[in-house]
Amino acid sequence: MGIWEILLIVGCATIVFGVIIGSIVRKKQGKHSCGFYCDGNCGHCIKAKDEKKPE
Amino acid sequence: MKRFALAGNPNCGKTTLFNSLTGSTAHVGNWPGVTVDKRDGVYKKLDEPVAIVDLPGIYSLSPYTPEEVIARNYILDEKPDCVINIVDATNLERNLYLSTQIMEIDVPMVIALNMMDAVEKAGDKIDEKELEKRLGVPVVKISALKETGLKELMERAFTESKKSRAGVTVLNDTALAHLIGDVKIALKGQNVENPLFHAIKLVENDSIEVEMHKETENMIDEFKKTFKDDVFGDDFEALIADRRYKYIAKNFDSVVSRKNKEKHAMTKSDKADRVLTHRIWGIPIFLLVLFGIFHLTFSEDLLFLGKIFSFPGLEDLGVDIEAFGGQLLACFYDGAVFSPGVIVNNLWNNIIVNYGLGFGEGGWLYNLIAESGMQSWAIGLINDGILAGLGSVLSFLPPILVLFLFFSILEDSGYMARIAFILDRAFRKFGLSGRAFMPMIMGFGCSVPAMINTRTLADEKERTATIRVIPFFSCGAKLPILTAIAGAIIAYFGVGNADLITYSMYLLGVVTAILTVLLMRNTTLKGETPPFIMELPAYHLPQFKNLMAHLWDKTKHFIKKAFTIILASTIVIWLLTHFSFSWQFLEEEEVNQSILAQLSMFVQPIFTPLGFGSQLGQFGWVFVVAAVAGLIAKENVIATFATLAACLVAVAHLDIGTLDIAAEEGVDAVQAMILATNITIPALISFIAFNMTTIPCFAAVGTAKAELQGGKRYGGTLIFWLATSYIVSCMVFTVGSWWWTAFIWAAAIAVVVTAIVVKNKKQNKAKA
Amino acid sequence: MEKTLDLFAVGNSGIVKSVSGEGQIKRRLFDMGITPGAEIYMRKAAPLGDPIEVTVRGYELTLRKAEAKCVVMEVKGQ
Repeated sequence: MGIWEILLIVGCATIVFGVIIGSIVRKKQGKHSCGFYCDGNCGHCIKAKDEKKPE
Repeated sequence: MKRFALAGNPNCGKTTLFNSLTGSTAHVGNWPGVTVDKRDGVYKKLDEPVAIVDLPGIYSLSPYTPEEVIARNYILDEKPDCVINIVDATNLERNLYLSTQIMEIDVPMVIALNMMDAVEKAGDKIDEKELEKRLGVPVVKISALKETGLKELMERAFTESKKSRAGVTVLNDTALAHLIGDVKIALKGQNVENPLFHAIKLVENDSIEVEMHKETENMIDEFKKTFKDDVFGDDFEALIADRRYKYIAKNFDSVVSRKNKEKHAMTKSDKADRVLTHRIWGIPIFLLVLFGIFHLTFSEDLLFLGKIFSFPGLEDLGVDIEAFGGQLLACFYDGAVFSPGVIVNNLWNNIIVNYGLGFGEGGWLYNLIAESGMQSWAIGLINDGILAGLGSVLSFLPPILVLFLFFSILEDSGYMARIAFILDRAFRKFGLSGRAFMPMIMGFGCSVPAMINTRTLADEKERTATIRVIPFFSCGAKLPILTAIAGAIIAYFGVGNADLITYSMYLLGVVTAILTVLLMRNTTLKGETPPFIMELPAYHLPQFKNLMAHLWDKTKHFIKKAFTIILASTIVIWLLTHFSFSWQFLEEEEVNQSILAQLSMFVQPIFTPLGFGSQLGQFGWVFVVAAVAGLIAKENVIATFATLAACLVAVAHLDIGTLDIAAEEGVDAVQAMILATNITIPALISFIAFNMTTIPCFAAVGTAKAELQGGKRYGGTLIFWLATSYIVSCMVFTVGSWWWTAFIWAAAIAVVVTAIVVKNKKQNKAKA
Repeated sequence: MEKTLDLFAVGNSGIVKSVSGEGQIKRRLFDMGITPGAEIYMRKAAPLGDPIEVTVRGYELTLRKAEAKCVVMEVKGQ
């Protein structure tokens, strides 16, 4: 295997794991990956409100 | 950083103002209710930067719609430093109705009189100084569109934000004032924030408020007993709304001086409306507009000129279509002039993606990789995996954008609201409102923009039902599946008619959509047909800047997706088809041993009732793989056929005669598959039906998830798609194979329908 | 003469006398400016006969006949 093949594997692995880890991190930060413009501050977001309800 | 919130009626120019202030590209449309969630941005032209929050457009702070609850909770709970209330100056009366409610909250507030340019153009005048005096809140004249008065508005808002303001109400001069005053004092005693606002809402019997202050219920009832009104009795909600409008009509009419006193004078908008929503011509015009949009996007024969005049093709003219010049020419014309949508599509795919980026077979990048001397698996991964995958995803961009542009124009101009008006009656029969039509029809182009468009639906359940059936309106990418299989059926079995098969499959999709909507609206997504009380905004020319912002937003989003999640999934799929479980790299011919093939064989029996399961023998798994590959992008279905057919021919030693498996339309590839598996016609049709009604492509699923805000609704949607496609294709296969099974299906359906009807009747009785 | 709004012919106008109906619909009608005393002008009906389009408080509003039924009007003499 040459340098290009190794670069290719590294590149592909970065993309795949980047996407997976990225989505996990977003969830952990409380940002819903719902595409709505919450920016982590979900007081207004319908979904967030559903989750807040059981108090 | 200080936070200013923008609040106002739908369609009052709020989002335009937001864009002008923040330079952002939020979605703007001439349709009431485009901003469904809130947006953040930053205004930088003051001494310190200020955060701007764009709240959803609302008519009132009632507890009935999600938008109103979002806006209300934001102002009450998040306590912005100042509320900028945008008021459409061309429609002062109704807009001030909301202002009188916001004024009751203890928050600094500035009123922005928007659309002053339109008012002045009509020759009218508004005395903003007088308005300011009467309201007791600063009033600034602006035009969000022309970007005038914005600086002054923000400076006033900044000054206001340093002060604090106690809520005031316009309900002062009525007998109500005592009642409200009493409740307010009682709430103040309990240290409630915004006592005036809460007091009024409690008197109104506002459901959210009553829930929050249960302990005050008896007290308020005591207070209310002392109050009687001749007209409204004890209907305080109605009484308060009435008093607000009475106050506005009495006090603010004199602020406006109109040049044209005639009440029902015809404006340009009225004249346009007379034609576009005409009693007889309204519907034909609408159909024509719709046809025009699809024609301009997809037709390879603009205005049918080619059919009428029978122009010669490029090859007949002696053009070398292999050369670059010929290719460029072929983007615009080949025996007929193409429609703008097709031209953009050709330019993008043939010139930019193939030549510029060099993605396609023979492109510079493709050749560079192929001759790079890398190991064969690496070349395969880049060329057949990554580049082919990215190329096919990018090829979607033009039709999506072109279709999006046309629908943006319709929305921006105000015609979309009229379409809802025209079609509401027909849609109500299915428990939907007229607004649901547009997203559904957009589904024929592409599900992604269609699902995004459902944001204009007010009712959450209606919206969910609509999103779920959008994929049944067969999109452009599903067409190749239809043409390839229909073509193969005719070529191989020598029966049927390709057009007939295609049309009936489209029809099957539409019928499935209608039936499943009816089913959902009567079972899981039950609900009243949402009320249809909607403002019809005046027509205006779409703003070029606005449209471009729209498109740019869309493009950015799409490209980002293509290079992250779609790219990642392409790589994963490639790995799964080229490696075995023992982590051995496989040549094309060994595809049978790949992880994906093995997995597919494992689940193959599930598809037996659909006709393409275990009965197809050892190569039957190819149909399963094709269907699974279709979950990434529906183009993959036929592309997979082509790849796998080549492998099958090699492995099974088929005698394929003159068939050319690599031929583009995939007809020959499908024929090779028929030869290898002995699949029947009903099973083939069932396969088409399955692909049309099952989980749509990756992009559409992602969009559905975003629009449904994940969670239960989204999970239910996936199950719904799987169940629908399974049942529909099973029905197609069994009835096609054994006609008498139709009776069994009919009986089963009858039982289900009766059960639902009986159950609903019982529930209604229980309620009553 | 009294009439509910859904029975109005195109071109009729009148003054709102009262609004009935249940919670959400009534509140919505009020919020959109259909309150007692408001003047309503019937502009047109949709091609399929329903919904209708009216002018109220200087803007165009569309509503279904089912909802218009909740609005009791005093018809203006022509």
